[in-house]
Amino acid sequence: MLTLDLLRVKRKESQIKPKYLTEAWPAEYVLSAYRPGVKLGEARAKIDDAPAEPKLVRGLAHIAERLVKLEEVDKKRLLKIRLEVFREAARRHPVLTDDARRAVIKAVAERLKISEGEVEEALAKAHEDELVIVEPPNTSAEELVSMYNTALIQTLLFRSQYMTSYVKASGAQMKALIRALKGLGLMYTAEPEGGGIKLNIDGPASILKQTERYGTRLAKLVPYIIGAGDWRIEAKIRLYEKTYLFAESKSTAPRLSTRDIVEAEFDSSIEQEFYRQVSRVCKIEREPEALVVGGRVYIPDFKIGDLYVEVVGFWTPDYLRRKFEKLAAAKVPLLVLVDEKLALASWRELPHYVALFSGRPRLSDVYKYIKPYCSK
Amino acid sequence: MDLNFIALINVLELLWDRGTVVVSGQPPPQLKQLSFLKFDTRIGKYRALAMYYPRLKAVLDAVGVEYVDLVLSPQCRLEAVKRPQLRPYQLEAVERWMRTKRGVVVMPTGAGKTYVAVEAMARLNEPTLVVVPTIELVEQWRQRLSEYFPGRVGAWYGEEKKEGCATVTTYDSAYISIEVLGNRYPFIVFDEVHHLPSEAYRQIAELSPAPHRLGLTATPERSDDLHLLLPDLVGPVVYRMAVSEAAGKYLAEFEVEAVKVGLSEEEMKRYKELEEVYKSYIKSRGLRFKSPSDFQKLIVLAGRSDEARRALEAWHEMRRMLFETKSKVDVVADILARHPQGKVLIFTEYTSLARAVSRRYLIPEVTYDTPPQERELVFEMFRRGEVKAVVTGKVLDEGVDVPDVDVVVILGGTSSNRQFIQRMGRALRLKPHKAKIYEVITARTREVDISRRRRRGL
Repeated sequence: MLTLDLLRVKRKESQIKPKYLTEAWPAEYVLSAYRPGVKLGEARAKIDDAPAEPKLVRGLAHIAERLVKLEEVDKKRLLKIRLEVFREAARRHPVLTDDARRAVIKAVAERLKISEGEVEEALAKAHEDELVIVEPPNTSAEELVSMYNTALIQTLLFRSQYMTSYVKASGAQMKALIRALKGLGLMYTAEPEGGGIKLNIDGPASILKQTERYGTRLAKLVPYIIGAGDWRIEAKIRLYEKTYLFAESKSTAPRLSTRDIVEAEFDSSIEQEFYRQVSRVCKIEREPEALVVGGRVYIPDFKIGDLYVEVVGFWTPDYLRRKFEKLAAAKVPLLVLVDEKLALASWRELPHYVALFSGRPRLSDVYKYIKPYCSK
Repeated sequence: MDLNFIALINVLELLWDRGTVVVSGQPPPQLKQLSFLKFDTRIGKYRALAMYYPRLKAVLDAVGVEYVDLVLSPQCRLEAVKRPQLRPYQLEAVERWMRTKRGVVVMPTGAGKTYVAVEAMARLNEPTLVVVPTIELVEQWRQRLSEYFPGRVGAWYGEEKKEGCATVTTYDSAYISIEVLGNRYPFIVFDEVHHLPSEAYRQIAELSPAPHRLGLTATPERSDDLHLLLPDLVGPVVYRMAVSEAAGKYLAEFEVEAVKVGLSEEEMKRYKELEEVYKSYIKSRGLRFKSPSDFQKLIVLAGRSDEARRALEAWHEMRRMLFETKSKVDVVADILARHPQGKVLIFTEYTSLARAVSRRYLIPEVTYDTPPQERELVFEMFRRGEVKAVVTGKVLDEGVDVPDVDVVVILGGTSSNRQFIQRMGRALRLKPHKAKIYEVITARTREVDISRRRRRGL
């Protein structure tokens, strides 16, 4: 993501789009500026002199700098030297001439038993600019371009008031998206659309005031969305005191980068084991596409024929009943596997759609339930 | 189904939901008419911004409906181990505020606004969220509050997120975190409250359910007139004291001296070229700039035409020249020589000038670049008198105590009257002698005009 002042956009009536970078040479130029042995400040000066639009190169540089490795300095030691200089200068206050200045540096160097050059260096290295690059940005020009274009989309979304996104993705990808969305304190409603799911995303206060408050959080969802098999986003953007519509999709966007996704998949070994066992006898699908039930996204673990299977951790009979009622209303056949040890309430009789296992689910526990749906 | 459960469904509940209040259950018709309450189809319930929580309760109480209030969840009772010794005007400010427990107190920098807040907190005994503009001020408030509420004070910003019974946070952090923190604090204090009305920060007040609110500032007025929102967000001005009332009695007397420096011949030539580019564009478009918000127009235009962009770039470069000219570094020597004993604080507009002054005269700099630990150590040394001068950018514009500064040097700054008053205020803690303010201005440039504007109404 960039800072808002580095955003570049094209506007046409009420539509807005990022000004994507389509050539590689500005990225090559930027990568060549951040080369090992050069001070960060020198690299930045080269960026300022670039024969291209300043906002563009500064945007690329912003991303490249995150991927660069700078020399490591002993900050504590440098700080100690600096403070010693300031103290010494204060004793001779005011230090006005070059000679007086030199005398301070010399006195400090002698006291700390270091060279005068090291003292000057400590004064200089207070600033990041003075640090030397030891490893170049670990990326290619092509990847930098795609990261830049992704960052432009995210930065534009900083100013968004809500976002609609259509996503066609595996259950695991959908799960990561929904989890990120909830973790960011956002809200959504879902509806099925053309084999995928359409999510209307905003935050609690959105119905009370038009606000860009959730914009930075909506931007953080971008890497989760663009990794999907198919996607489309639409957002209302408030910029330059006007309201615009931004629309982008997999087929219209340039190459983008999902390098910023940090979250991994969440599936546990219990589920893997179950999958392995069942797959020997039936066709079983892992991470089937997510379903929409009553405006919410529902992500089952497996699909065997038309039967959805979910492995549940902690549970109560009431929780199971509510879940089943919802799914039954949506006419979705469901089998829930529960661990008898993890029941949170006492129970006498299990409903017909619940199979019990102990420790980990085995084929023998569930075969009679899945048999009608099983094919190979 | 469980009978208790059914009974619960029909009872009206007020719930906290991330900066909003949700009304669960069947609200009476009087409630549905309230303009600030909206039906949220996403959850099938009514919802309002948290700031309307007290009004919502007032309406329910007036109608006489039973309801369960689950909005506020204070975690503790705030008790002071001692009380501040208040000056008469501070006491009066507290008394006036206590009548409604909402409102803004206006007092000059150095008059001890913090103690007004401490006393209000000690009287209310409620968990309090204190919102301040900078990290330095977080530290300063934390130290000050810890004297009165030892062990009960937390700080919430950046990496450090630790709540106490009184928690100090920045406007930036509060903007993001009010959704999480809001309902634990029935009392919210806004230091330098003139920041609050800006479009983003305003939401801190809107998404907080705190019935009790106190704003502190030396100058509530804003050039964009947004201070007109303060009565809704915090409450009306309940107490006001001008600088002139305090000077000599509670604040030091002061003297402002303008020091003129010149651009080099070469610099002046470049400056005039830039000025030509800028002025001819402004004239050709018939633009007039009366307030900072008018300047936004140029920024908007610059996004559309190359001519406007060049004019804006010329303006920026002129500004940099004014604020960074080498003669400004030179002039610091004269001023330091004139005050060999006094504590001197030097303000610049850009970090690069602060850096140049620091390197040349070997005085510490405190800017946004300076690591927090170094800032603190430098402040400590400055307080103890171990260093005699500090050069800084905009970080110290507001609030931070730098006690006993005798001389303030303004090497570069905006035309903002508030910035000037606040920078000047660094030297105005009561002392036996007069405080001295130097304002360094580049002759024959727009800086002369900038200076005239920032000094109005002193």
